[in-house]
Parts: sequence; structure tokens; C-alpha cells
Amino acid sequence: MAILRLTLSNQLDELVRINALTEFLDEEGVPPAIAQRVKLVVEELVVNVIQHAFDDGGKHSILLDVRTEPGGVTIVVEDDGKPFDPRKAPTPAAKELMEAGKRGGLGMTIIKKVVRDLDYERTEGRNRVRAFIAYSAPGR
Amino acid sequence: MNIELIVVPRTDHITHVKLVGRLDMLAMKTVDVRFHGETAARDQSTIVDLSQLEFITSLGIGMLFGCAKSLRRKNRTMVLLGCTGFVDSALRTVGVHEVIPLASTMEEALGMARDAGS
Repeated sequence: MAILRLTLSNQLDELVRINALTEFLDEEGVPPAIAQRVKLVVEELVVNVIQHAFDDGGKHSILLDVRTEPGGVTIVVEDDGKPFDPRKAPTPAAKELMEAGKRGGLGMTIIKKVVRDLDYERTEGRNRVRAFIAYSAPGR
Repeated sequence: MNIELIVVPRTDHITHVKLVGRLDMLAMKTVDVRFHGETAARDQSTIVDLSQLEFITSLGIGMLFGCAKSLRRKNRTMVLLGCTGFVDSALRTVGVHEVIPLASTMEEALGMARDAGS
């Protein structure tokens, strides 16, 4: 088991630092197809926080923790933004989004379909989202 | 290179573009406006070759949705060509294939584009 921990600021330019995941997952022997899913879920979660969690225009830290385990990879994202439970977020169908001309909403759909477990807790003013991607997950 | 948008010259009235690389949030900042200009802003059915696209996120899919919808308003169509591996899986995960036709070969893509009226 190994852990990659990053502290990101709430700026989109910080996403370039997520590239460290590629080397980490490769060194840990995570199968390429699973590694792609991990990178996808991490980007969806972090972008969602950067774009929607903060209204004050201030600088905030986002904690990212990616952990390889025998059965898969666990992703934890923590922030001190507005409460947001991804489990309760709507997951509109593609047709509905396209007809409405909306670009948002797909991220949560992707996350819910790619991960095996999705947990959320709000503690002491912080959001903590935990997602688990299993090695044995069906190729969805 | 994060993302590259290549416009393939054609003599018929079909637009053909290729996206090469990774279509993530950072790539969107560089390619979104130009992609719209090369596809939706033209009054032609469009083939988007994704065979060399390695990665796509929801924002990238949203970009495809937006341009496909703009083309549909003009009675044109967008066809996604050559999706494989992770990209194909990501697109099907959110049901893109239900709203934008996917083609395996250029011949198939051209047929779909011409059927929609180019």
C-alpha cells in the first residue's frame, strides 16, 4: 500500500500538479485502465471543488489523498467549502443535458458510474469525499 | 502537448477535425473556443476524429455536446469517429452514443454525415 498526498490551492492552474498521479499509479503497478479511471475521478472531484465550493474569492486548500490498496485505489478529497454531498447530486441523462444546453452535471454521473463506493461526511466545516475504485470493477 | 486540434482539409461540404492528446480541464482552456469555431460555427456536418484522444473528462464531453447541439439547430450533424479504449468507455458511460452518433470507420462517418444533410 502506498499513498500520494497533495495539497492544492483552489486555482484551476493547480490541476497540472495532478499529473504526479500518473507516475505514482504506474510505480504502484495499477493497471492502466484503472489508472485512467482514478485520474478521471480525481479531476472531476477537484474541478468540482474549485469551481463550486467557494464563494468568497479567497484562497483555500484542497487536500488530495490517493491510496493504493490490495483491491483497488481509494481517493479522498477534503475542502473547507460549502457543504456538498456528491451522493445526492443529480445525474441527468446525456439527452437531457444536451437538450438543455448545459455543460455541467456530467461529472457526477461519471463519478457515480466509475467508482464502487462513494462516501461523504461533513465534519467541523469540512467536506470529506471518499471514492473507491476496485480493480475488479466492470469496465463501464 | 496537452491537446491538439487538427483541421483536415476536405473538398466536400463536411468538416473534419481531429483531437489529439488529452481533453481535460487544462486542455479545455486552450481548445474550447477554437473547437467551436472550427465545428459549430460552420454550417456543415462535422466529423470529429477521436482515435488519437487518450483522455476525456466531463468538461470535454460537455464541449462536444454544445457543438453537436449547435449543429443540430442548423440541421447538421456531428459524428464522433474512432473512439477506443478509455475515451470510448467514458463517452458510453454518460450515454453520449445516445445523442451523438459514433462511427468506427471514416466511410461510416461520412455516410452518417451525408445522411444528415451536408
